[in-house]
Amino acid sequence: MTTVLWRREAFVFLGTMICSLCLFTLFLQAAFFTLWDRVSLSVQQEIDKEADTIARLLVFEFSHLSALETGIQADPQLDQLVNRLLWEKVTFNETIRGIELISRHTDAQGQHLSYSFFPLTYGDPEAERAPQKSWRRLTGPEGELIRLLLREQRVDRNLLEVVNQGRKLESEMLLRYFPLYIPLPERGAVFWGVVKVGISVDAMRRFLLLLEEERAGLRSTLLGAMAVVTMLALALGLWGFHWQGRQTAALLQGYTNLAQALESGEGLDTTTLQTYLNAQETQDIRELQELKQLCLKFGAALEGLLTPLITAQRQACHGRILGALLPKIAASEVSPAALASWAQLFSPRPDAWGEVQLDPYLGPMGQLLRVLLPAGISFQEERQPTPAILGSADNLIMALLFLVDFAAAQATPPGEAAWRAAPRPGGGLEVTLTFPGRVFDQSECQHWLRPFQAGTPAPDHLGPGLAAAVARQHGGSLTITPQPHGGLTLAFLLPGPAPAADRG
Amino acid sequence: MIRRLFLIACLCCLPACGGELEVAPPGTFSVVIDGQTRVILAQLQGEGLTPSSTGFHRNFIGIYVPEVFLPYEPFVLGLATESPIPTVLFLDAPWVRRYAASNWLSPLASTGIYDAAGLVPAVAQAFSLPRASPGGGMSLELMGVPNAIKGNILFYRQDLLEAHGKEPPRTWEELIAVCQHILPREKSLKYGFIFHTTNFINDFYPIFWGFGGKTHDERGNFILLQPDMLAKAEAALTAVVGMQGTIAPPPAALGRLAAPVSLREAFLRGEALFMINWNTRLHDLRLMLADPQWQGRAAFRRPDQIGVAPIPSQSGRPRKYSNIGSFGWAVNRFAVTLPGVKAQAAHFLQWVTSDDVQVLRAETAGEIPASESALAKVQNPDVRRVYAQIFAAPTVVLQPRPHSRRLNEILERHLQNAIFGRQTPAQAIQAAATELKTYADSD
Repeated sequence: MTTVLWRREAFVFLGTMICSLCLFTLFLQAAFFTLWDRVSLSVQQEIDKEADTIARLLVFEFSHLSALETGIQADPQLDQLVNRLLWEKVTFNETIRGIELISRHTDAQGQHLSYSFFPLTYGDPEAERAPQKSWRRLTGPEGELIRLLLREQRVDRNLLEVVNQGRKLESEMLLRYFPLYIPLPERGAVFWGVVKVGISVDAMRRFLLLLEEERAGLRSTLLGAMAVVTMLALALGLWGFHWQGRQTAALLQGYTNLAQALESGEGLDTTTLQTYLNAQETQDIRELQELKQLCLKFGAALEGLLTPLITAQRQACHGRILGALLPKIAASEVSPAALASWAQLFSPRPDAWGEVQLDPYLGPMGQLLRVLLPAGISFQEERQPTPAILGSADNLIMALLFLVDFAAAQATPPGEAAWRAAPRPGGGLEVTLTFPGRVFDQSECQHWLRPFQAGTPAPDHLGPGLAAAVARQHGGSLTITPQPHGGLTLAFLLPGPAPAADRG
Repeated sequence: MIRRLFLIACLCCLPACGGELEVAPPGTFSVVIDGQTRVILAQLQGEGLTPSSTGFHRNFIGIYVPEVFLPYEPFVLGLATESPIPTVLFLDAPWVRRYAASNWLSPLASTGIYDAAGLVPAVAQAFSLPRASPGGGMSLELMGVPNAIKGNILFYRQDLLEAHGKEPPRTWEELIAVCQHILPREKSLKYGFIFHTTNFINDFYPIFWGFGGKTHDERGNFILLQPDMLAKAEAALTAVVGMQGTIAPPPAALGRLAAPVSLREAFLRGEALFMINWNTRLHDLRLMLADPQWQGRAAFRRPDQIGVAPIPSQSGRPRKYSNIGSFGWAVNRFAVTLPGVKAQAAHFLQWVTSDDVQVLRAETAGEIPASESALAKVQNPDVRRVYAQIFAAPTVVLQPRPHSRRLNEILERHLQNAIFGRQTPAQAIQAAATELKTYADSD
C-alpha cells in the first residue's frame, strides 16, 4: 500500500479530490446563500401576490355596494350592512386581519368617512372591537399614501413599502390599499375611495423559520454526503492504482532490473531481456506500451552495438600490447620461444563454452606482463596449478589480456609487480595482479569496474569493465583494490563447478 | 496536469451555474376578446398569419367579455387592483389615455415592447401621453398601438362642388357660403349639412376644438369650466344651431336622422351636400352603391363622386380636428413584471399590428393603416384618398374625446337640448357647466 500511495499520481489524485471537496463546500455555501435569498424573495412574492388577491377579491365584493355611492351618507341600514360585511369577512377568515373603507368624501374638518374593523388593535377594550363608522384624519406615511390614492387613484409602491415596514397601530400585518370603484350602469366605474386590507403574515414567518432550520440540516447532510462520496472515490481510486500496480508489477520489475543492470555495469543479456519483455502484458496502458517498445528497440540497438564494441576493444588491446612488444622484439629483448607462447594468446578461438584449463595461458601472460611493465619495476610471479573451470576460453583469455594491458598502462616505477595464480579453497581459481603506480582512490576503481554509470563520462580504459563482465558471466568477479602506497591489486576470481544438487 | 486540474475545476463549477427562466409559465398571456378583437384574430387565423413566438399558443388565453358587462367598466376594477390580467387590452383611444393616466399601462417605446418610429405621426401622437423624461422635461410616450386610423371627417358631394366650381370648405363660413350657393340650384338637396343626432358629442368635439376649445389641458386638468372655454363651446354650438333650419336639418327633422344608418342613407339619396361621419363610412358607401338595393335610388353612381375633407374650423384657425375613433393595443403594466410576458406582449403586438394585417384590413374593410410602411402597400383607392387628403395633412390633428363617460353624457344631454331647440346654445352650455361643476368636484 505504501508503494501505491507513494506515487506522484496518487498525490495528484488525492489533492484533486481534496480540492474538489473544498470547492464543493464553497459552492454549496454560495448556493445556499443564493437559494436562501431566492426562496425568501419567492415566498415574499407569493405572499404579496396572495395579499393582492385577497384584497382584490374584497374590493370586488365591496364594489357591489352601489348604495355607498348612490345612497345618502347617514343611512343606518347601509352602515349596518357595511359593518356586518366587515365583521363577517374579518372574523371568519384567519388570513384577513382587518378591513377599512375610506371614502373620498370629507367633512368640514377634512376628515374622511371610514368604515373600519381591525379587531386586534392594541389597547382597545374588548367591548370596542367591533366594526366602526367614523371620521378619520389622514396622518403620517399612511395618510400620505391614502391622499395620493384619493387624488390619483393609484398606489405608490414606495409609500406602501414605507407603511408596511414601519410600526403599525393595528399590530403586525401586511397592508394593502386599493382604490374602490363602484360600477354603475349609467355612469361606469365611479371612484368611491380606498379599501385598506390587513393580511396576516404568520404563515410566511412560520415558513421562513422552518426553512432556516432545514437549511442547516440540509447543508450538513450534503457536506456529509459529499465527504462520503469523496472518501469512496479516494478508496476506489487508490484501489485502482493498487490493482494497476499489481497488473504491471512484473513488467515494471523487468525495467527495474534493466535499470539496475545498466547502473551497476553488470552487463546485459539483451536476448533474454527481449524475450522477457515480449512476454509481459502492458494492460493496455499506453505509457507502458511505449516504454516496452522503447526498451525492445533499445535492447536490439544495444545488442547491435555491443559486439562491435567488444571486438574493437579486443583489437585495441591486442594493438597496444603488440605496439609495446615491437620495439622489444626489434631489440631482440624477447626470445622466439616467448613469442611463440604469446602467439596462442592472440589466436582466435571459437566462442564456445566448455571445460577450460587456464594454466597453459597464465604462464605466458605473466611473462608478457613482465615484458610490458616499464623499466624500474621488479616482477614476481607465483603460480600454482589451477583447476579446470566451465566457461568460454576465448572470453577468459581476452579478459585476462585486458587486465595485463590495463596494468601495463597504469603501472609506474619504482615498485614491485606480482602475477599470482592459485586455486581457490572451495574450487575455482584466483588470478591476482599487483602493480605499482600512483595512488588511486576507491571511486576511480569503481568507475573502471562500472564504466557506464549515469552522470559520468566513460573511462578511457574499458578493459577492467569488460573483464569484470566476463568474470560475472562465469559467476565470478573482478575486484580492483588500491594499494596504500600506490598502485593497484586486481583480483580475478572464477568459481568452481556448481554442486551436483544445484545442477539439478 | 494543469489541464486536468482545470477540467476538474470546470466540472465542479458546472452544477453552480444556472440560467434564468426566460419562458413565460403557461397561461400567463391573456388578451381581451370582444367583438372587434374577435374579428381581427379570426381574420389573422383565416389568413394563416400566426404569431411566430415560441410557445405562444400554449400561453395564450382569451378573456371573453360579455357585452352586458361593458357599461360597468370591468377592467377599471381589475387594473385598479393591480391585476396582471389581461396582459393586452384593445382600447378606444380615450380609454388608452384614461388607463395610462392612472398608470395602469406599460409604456411601449421606452420599454422596447413596440417601436413607435413606423407609425403615422398624427395617430402616434393620439395614442401618446406626456411623461416626465429622465432629463427633467416632458416627452410623449406611446401607450397604445393602433391598427388603423379612424376619425370623423367631412364628406361632400364632389360632383356637385365640381359642377358649381366650388372648393371644399376650410371654415364654417366657407361651408355656409358653398351651401348657400348650391342649395338653391340643386333642388334634390334637402340640406347643406347633416350630422349625427345620437352621439352628437362625437361630431361636436372636432367642431369645438376647431373653435380653439379644450376640455383638459396637456397635464390632464379639467379646464372646460374656464370662462373662455365655455365661450368657445357656446360659439361652436351656436355655429351648428345657427345652420339648423337653413342649411342643417331643423330640430323637428332630426328624428329622421337618429337611426344608425340613416345619415349615410340620406347622403346616398342625395339629400345632403355635406356630412360629418367616420372615415370608414366611405368604404360603407362604396358597398352600398354596389348593393342592388340601391340601384336607381342613389343620387350618384360612383364612389369617386364623394369628396372627403377635414372638418372645417373657425375662421382664422388653420388647424382642423378629427375625433379619433381608433382602437389601440395596450399592455397591462402589472403583467409585464412576470418573466417572459414582456417578450410575449411584444410578439403579440408585432403580430396584430403587422403590415400584413393592416393591409388586409385596408383592402377588405377600408381602414387606413396606422403604419407608414403598410400605407405604402395599400391599393384601396378610398383609403389612399382619405389619407392623402386628410390625415397626411400637417394641419389635421387627431384627438381623442375626453374619456369620462359622465362628462360626455352631461355634455351630450345639454347639446341635445340645444340642437333639438329646447334651449338656446348659451342656456345649454350654461346648464352643462352648472352640472359639470359637481363632476369636477367629484372627479
